Amino acid sequence: MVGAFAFDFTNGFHDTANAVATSIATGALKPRSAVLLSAALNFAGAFISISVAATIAKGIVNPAVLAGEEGLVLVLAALIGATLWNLITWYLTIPSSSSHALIGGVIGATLVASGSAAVNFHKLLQSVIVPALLSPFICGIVALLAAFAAYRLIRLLRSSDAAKGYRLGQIGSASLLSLAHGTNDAQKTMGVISLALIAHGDISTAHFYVPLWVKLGCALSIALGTAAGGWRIINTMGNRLTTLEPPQGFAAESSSAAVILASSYYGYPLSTTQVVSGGVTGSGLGRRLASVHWEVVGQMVTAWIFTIPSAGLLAAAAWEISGAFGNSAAGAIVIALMAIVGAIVLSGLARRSNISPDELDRTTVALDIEPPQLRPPAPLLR
Amino acid sequence: MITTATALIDWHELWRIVVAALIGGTGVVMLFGLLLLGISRGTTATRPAARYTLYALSALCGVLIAAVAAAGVYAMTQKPSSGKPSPKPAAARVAPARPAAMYRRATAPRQEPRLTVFARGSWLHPAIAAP
Repeated sequence: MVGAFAFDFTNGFHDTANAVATSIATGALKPRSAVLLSAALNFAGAFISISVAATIAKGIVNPAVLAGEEGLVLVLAALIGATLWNLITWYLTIPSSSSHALIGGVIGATLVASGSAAVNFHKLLQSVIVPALLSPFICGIVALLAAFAAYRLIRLLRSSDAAKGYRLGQIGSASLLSLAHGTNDAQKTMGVISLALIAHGDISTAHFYVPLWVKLGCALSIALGTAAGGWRIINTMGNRLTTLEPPQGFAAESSSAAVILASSYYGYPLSTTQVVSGGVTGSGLGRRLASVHWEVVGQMVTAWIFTIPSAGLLAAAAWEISGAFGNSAAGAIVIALMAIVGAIVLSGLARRSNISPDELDRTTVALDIEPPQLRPPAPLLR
Repeated sequence: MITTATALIDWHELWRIVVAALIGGTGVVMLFGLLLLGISRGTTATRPAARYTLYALSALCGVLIAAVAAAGVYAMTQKPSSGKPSPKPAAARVAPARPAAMYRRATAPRQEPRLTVFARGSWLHPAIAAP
């Protein structure tokens, strides 16, 4: 459970950028205010729907391997793999999917524990790989069209009105995105903990429910992680992918929220990180083709490709180390301690090139949106 | 390649998502732009009738945006995976194609799950499948 809460914390910490990076980059919100707002909405989002039945890697891994005491150690190894990969990508300032890290962790630990027969690769391809390939493109196209439309309308507006208006609008779109993130991601950890409670006999399968303390714990973990603010990834998502203006930020956030909510509603699993990254890139293209920094996009896509295998390798290593102690409580404690040491080392390394929230503050920057004036604005109504 | 893609992608679902996202994402941005335009032009309009018309247009856009946001929150509460899944019918609960022991190479003995289910091409957790 501690492992699950720790993963939830890194999930919030790592994915803060998804919801607030564009708002911070365009100066719609001060960095600290943005993460606090996002944290509050992530907390609230965790209570909106309880899809705990959608346990980790459902359908991808044979659940028989997750049963019993060894199953719990396997889940812990998976959580450790995912958490460490989250911290590695945070250190490298690259946005990557926490959901894919968790799935990769489960697959890696399962492969070494039970062999390839316990992994449904077709399901992995169908529910993880294909959506991962499609989602950035879908959101990118929607954001491109939205940004293009926004700039067409801006031509009829005063520059200051547009900047002020879209900055205000971004507060709403970022809030909706944070709420959606809390709803989607807190459920994963609730699923992990519920699985542990069922295996331990604390919850009856006949009268299945999620205890309030589990909901509160998961909501608090993701909210605290979000409030901690992953400034390194926020900087990449908001400033390094493309140079954002308020209309682009609003277009990126609205498109991301629309894609995430539509896919949630229709039951198509998508990674929030990949959707938002696609949205930010698309909104960059919507303004001017040259404004996207493709080398950063390339680094990000490379990290996405390596997320599942890397988290899997880390989880497999954790499982093997635990196996040396009989895959029991002793093994679990050893791998947990090693993970804590790894987290401390990565945090120490990250401090050397720390990014402070004050460096990201753009609220005092006066944005002057100057769209190309092809012809004088036509009078709408006199 | 097309056959493989068809087997992996539910084109109908994907199409619905794309359409919903296009309407929601692009639509909200355009409505918000019109809202700003109405307010901006409304404040500078000289004739009261024009001013009220523009403010009314802005208000309408605001209401539509709020409705889309409310639909988004509703969609969050209506996720297909929400809530406890209903148990599969008895016919769906078939014996595993391979014994569960085949999935394990672990050294220590452990308790076998009460029920292993393999139905409709996906594995379900025994706890979920149990009646």
